[in-house]
Amino acid sequence: MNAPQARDFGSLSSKEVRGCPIPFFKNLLSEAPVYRDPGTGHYIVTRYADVIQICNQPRLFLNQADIMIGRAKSPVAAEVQKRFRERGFPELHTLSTADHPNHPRFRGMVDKVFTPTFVKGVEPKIRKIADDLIDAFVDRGSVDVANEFANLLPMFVIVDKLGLPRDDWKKIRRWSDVIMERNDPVLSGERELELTEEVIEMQNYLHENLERFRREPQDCLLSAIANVEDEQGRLTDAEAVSISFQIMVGGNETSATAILSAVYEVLQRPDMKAKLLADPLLIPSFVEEVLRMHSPVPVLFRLAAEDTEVAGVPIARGSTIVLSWMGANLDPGKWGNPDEFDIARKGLRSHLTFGRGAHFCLGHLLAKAELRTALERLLTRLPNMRLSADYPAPQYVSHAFVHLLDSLHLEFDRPSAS
Amino acid sequence: MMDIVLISRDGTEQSIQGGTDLSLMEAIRESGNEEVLALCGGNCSCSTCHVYIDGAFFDRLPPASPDEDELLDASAHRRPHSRLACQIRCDAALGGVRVEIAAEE
Repeated sequence: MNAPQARDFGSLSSKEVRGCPIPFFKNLLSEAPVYRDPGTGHYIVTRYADVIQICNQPRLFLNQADIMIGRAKSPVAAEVQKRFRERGFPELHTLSTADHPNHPRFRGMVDKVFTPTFVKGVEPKIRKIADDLIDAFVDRGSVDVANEFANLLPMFVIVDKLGLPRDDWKKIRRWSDVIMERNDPVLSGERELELTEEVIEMQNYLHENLERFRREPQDCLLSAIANVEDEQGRLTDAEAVSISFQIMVGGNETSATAILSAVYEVLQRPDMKAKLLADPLLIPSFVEEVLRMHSPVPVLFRLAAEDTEVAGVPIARGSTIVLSWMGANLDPGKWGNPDEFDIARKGLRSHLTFGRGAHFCLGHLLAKAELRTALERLLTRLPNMRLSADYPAPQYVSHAFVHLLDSLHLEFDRPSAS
Repeated sequence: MMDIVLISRDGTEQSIQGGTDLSLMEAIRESGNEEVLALCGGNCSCSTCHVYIDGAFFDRLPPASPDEDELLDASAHRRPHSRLACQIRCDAALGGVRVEIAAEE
């Protein structure tokens, strides 16, 4: 039996809330920490302690929440599944939407890839990619940060690691945007079918490459995924495609988003910019605080496996729970002055942007390395970096699933002729 | 079972136990201690289970992997007897070990 809804604080399915969910989540933190969204029927959880409690009970709060993968309640579910069966690959729960016992199997296969040692080893390459990208516009005195830098840096890092050609980046970015758009609980059936066609194209692209590496193994991640064997044998085509796309999408979209937020934050704080230039050792802390305040993925989903309760609110079996990482990152019950941008705050790294527990973001070390390097190279090489007056101020887009700036156009002083 | 003397950040000592099916991090978490965040769930991927192992036992542990070493190196509070608790298996032979939780990063 669901608790009666007390007040209507709005819905995460509304364009208005999606355009700026922060006031919405802050309201819920104080007024309705477990809030049944009238637009979706989902229970939105915002308090840090409650979100942690849910993350730490993966048998009760399942990752197979049917929003990102599966979507069994969608009005076009049967047609979508038919198309995947006939022209693509059935969508499986492998990494982010998997539970015990499948999750440990698949996660274990990829855990040993994005290690601290790997990330340290790839840092020089990240720096080179950043510098090469900057070389292309440094003499112009202006830059479209999203399209000339942020969307390309993590993209090139992940496609190189996967073993895909950098020239394919445009379609990989398009498919990443498609996946992000599809993570919308209230997507229209018509749009879901359109997005399904793109996902099938992506699946077949990945499958062709996996097959290529099965024929001729190489030292890259797609080859490892194509050829890995454990006691259950090799991965099936559907499993390999599923794991591959999550790494491909997760490895480019979210880091690009975070780079934009990081640059925008530093531009709004001239004193911070000066401090970071004077002491680049402060950059890691700056990056953590950006991640706390601007989670690229503000929410993720869980499914209640049994009748249960969170913070005294009854939640029926089968209910969808929305974990608000963004809300938890602003919870005054956890953070002192949560609205203040403070790189010296206590517990800086305990934000929930990367989740918590078994599903903690696989690529968090790589993401942070990319963020640190991006910021350091831009600050160092673009003197007097500032927002361009020729464009409107950046705004966060109205989106179901990502917290992303619509643009970021900068000007900077051109290098003087030597 | 392994007997552990756990020293919190404020210096309080507490006797806890760890089953041999657990990592030291899991034993600490199961004792109710919340100072060890274990953000990554024990995957040697963060450094929020950073502890100091008392000298008499430190040398008996299997050496740290390069990954563990990398993460400890990134800590501002690394000491000679630093380890990540998620990388240490509870072992009755290490009974009586004193484990101090490192300062928060």
